[in-house]
Amino acid sequence: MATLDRCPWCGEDINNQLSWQLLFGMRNSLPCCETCRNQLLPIVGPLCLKCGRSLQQIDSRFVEGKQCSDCVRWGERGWGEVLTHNKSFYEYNDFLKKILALYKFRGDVEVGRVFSSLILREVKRSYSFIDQVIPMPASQERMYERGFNQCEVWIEGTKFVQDSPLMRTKNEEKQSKRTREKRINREEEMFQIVEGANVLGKKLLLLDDIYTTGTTIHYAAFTLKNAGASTVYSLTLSRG
Amino acid sequence: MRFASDLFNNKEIIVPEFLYQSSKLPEFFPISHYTSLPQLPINQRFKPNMKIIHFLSGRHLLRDEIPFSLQELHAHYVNGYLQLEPGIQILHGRERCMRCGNHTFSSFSCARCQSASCEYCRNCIIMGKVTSCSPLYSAPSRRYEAIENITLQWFGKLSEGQQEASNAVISAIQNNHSVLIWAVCGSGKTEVLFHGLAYALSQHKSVCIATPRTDVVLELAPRLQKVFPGLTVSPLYAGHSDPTSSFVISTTHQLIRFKDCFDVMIIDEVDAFPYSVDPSLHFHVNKARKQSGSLIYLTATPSESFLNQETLNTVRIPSRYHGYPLPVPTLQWSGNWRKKMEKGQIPSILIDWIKKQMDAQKPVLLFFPSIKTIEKVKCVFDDQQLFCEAVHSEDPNRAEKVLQFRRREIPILLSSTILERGITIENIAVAVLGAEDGVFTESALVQIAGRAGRSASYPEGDVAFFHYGKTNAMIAAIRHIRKMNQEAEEKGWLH
Repeated sequence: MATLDRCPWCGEDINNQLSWQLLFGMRNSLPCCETCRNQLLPIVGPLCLKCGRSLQQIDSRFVEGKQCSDCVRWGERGWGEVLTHNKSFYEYNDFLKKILALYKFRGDVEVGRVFSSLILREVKRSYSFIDQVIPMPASQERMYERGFNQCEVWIEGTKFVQDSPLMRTKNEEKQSKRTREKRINREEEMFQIVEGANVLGKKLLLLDDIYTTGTTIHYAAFTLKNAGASTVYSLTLSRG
Repeated sequence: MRFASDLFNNKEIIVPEFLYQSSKLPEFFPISHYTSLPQLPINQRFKPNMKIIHFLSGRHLLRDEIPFSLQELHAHYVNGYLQLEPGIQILHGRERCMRCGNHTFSSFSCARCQSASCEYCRNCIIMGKVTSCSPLYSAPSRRYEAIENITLQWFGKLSEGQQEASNAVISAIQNNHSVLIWAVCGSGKTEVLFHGLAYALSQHKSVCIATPRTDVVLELAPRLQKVFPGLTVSPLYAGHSDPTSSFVISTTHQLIRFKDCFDVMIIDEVDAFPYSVDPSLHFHVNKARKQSGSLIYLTATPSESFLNQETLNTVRIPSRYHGYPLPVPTLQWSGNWRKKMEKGQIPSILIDWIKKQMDAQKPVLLFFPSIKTIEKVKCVFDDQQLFCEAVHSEDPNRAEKVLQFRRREIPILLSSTILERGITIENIAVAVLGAEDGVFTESALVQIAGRAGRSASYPEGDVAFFHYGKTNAMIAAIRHIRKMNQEAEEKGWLH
């Protein structure tokens, strides 16, 4: 691993900053330079009780009680019980978009590791009741293309690393071979349970980099619940 | 990527994992496991795909940068037409990125080679990711087919200084030597290259003109295309990485994707940022050229350390192409100008100077030590209704503003050191405020002064350094300019 004398994001010398942080017990902040850190926007309350987005950031027309209208829609379509609750750390602003692009598309793993301690601390503090943390699985093609799974990196080397019960659906049927019903509701085919895995009665936490429409997370949670999981939570770095 | 070792025509080879179809698989390793991969002999019975040969000739590319199938690449490798090597190797006991020369690595758990600690190079990751399991592909630089009439379509006359330098360039190319052309700002150094280029291209040598700056690539490529109409010039810069000919004008960054390619390497502005401070750019340039070829450096302001290389032959052009002396900057004490600016005032000595230039209808280019100062000064100027625009390195509208300044739509342009090089505007007056600041080194000040008096119609430019205390750099810059004028005078090259 690279030494921490430079900001992993912008390359700025951060030796001085780090020692000051240690002195003032600010070890909780991200291991990057202050200028970069200040460009991240933490999501602050009041939040949607379901998806964890800031209700202040959206038009009041899209707030219904303590939920956003997107989450109300999920509920109306019968998905209300699938995902218990999502929490996200940061707004998906241009800065974070750039950082995630360096991480995921350029493949600079060190850029993503900056978030590891933040995520681990949250998992330990708020999700101690969880039976298993599941980094959002990537398809085999995507795994080869990128060389790594960006969410697995965040828990690498910790006790949270376990064989995942969830995987992307292999060899999806060609669209043309599906029935019309299946084409529209392709959710069951996005993920599947790994052969021999058992999630029965388990409390699970999905880990992903971004919650945008919530589709991926809901479909993953759906597959897990269908296989008998008791509750599924999600924790994402950003909320798009 | 993972490979297995195998035999082909009794020679040891490595085969990518994906080319095995059978159920009984050999043992695979990341490419870094194979520490010596001998060059395979050319198989004369194999008919190569010339598109692959051309694409990879003199290049040094990652798998993802090559638009051909793995099967085809493998076939050309086993038949001796191309080589592959691990992206990261241990040389002299130290790990090294073979593409950029960097020595320190990060590691990650890699899905491509299934190693829990596959190393990767952060230094050059912006140009694609080199890992210890990445193969780098290359093919020998080919000799280009005879190009019929290489004629130089330029009938200008070189000045005495240019002529001398031009001869030195030709001689370096003929004898595969190195030479430094130390040519003052406005001496016409591009023209100095013309005859050497014509010679090199007629000998079917591959030629690269490398520069640290994209602006220079974009300016130089059409100029050279115009004087060599029978040839294709390949400009390379971010987003344009693949050459279409063996006559390349490239940023030093783009040369990362070449290996043993160029017979003639010309480096323009060796002392310019970031080439001057980034050792991997030197590595790129050195890797891209053939070690047996010639190396030509061009600059107006070589660094001390550069000049201290004993073996380097140097030719100086102390005079401008138009034969008028370089404008010598005047030093003007402006007191504590920062304090004044804080109060919303401009030193009156600077105001007087600007007014004088504007009365004489001259465009005014002002340099400042930092972006912060520029922003501050812009506010003060706006308050005082002095119409101006500001540019700096992080300004997305830089090119547009410079163009407006050139068209005289903006009378005053405030700039950071970003415009110290390469800008040529007729009849311009140039000044520095805060010349005492550390960013204004001798070479920066010489370059800035070199913006004035470049046109034969207005050879006498006005250059002023406004300061709050003389620095050695200011004195050295003036001495430098005077010495060049004196040398030109002694040679009888001035009007």
